[in-house]
Amino acid sequence: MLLLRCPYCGVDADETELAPGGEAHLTREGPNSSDAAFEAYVFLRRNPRGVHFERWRHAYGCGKWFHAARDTATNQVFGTYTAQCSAPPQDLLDRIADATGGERA
Amino acid sequence: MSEFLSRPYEGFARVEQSAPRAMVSLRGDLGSQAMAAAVSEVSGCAIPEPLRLTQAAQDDDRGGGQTSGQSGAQHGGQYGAACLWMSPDELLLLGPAGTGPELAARLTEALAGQHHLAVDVSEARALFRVSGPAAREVMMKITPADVARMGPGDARRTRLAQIAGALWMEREAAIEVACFRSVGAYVAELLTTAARSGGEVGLLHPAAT
Ligand SMILES: [Zn+2]
Repeated sequence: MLLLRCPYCGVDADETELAPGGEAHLTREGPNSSDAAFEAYVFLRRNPRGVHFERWRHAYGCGKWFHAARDTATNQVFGTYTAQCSAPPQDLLDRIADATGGERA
Repeated sequence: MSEFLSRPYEGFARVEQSAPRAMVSLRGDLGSQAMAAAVSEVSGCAIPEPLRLTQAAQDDDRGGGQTSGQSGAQHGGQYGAACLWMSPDELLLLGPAGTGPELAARLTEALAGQHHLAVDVSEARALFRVSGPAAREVMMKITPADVARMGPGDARRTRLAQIAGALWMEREAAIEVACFRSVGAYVAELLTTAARSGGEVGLLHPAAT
């Protein structure tokens, strides 16, 4: 079972209240991008064993999209943060580094 | 209004379909002065904090005169206007049945010039009430929301078994439940099944022996 704290309403939301949105912080390639970059944007994902930055939506609650950092192997949650950013906040990265002994996603 | 429960169901808690109320969805900047003024003017409610609701102050003068304790008596008493926090930019205003179009129009007028949306959605949802000392235990079976810690003034959108719904408490020992009307029959069966005698959980409220 996975519990993620929605940064908008503060609820510790059960996984069944959430809709997964896949890998976070993708660069959205447009019509002027190269074929390779567009293919990577549409199809290629990191799928790491370990720290992963993801998008989730509080679908059954406040309805907002947010971000979460989670270990895909252990389901350890390092934190959640709002959708209004294009990279994880530094304090979260520091916490992850502390928790994982320096492992980076 | 559609009827999903013709009469109250008495299990280890009571389940009934609530009387219709006006429901108006209001979206906009909940932190703005204009929003606070409009909601106060139209409903008498303050803007609720996240996961909370506010109720209009009630005149306890009208018939019955139960003025023991807080406004809104334990059992009797009318359900007055209320304002539910639904998301960071959305409220649900509850008012007397039939007043939805008027409430929405007054909000639209009060918020003229402000980015907002006020829509009468009175017919969109069905309302139920689960009451009695073990009411929370009925809800614990069907939602991941932390119902055990909910009390009067709390509001929560969540999942009810297979569908989306909302829970809130305007008074102690009664949980209000809202769902889309299209799944009203499902929720009526869900609540009455969860409240069936013999299905007591006994976690918060000692099971009858
Ligand atoms: Zn939320």
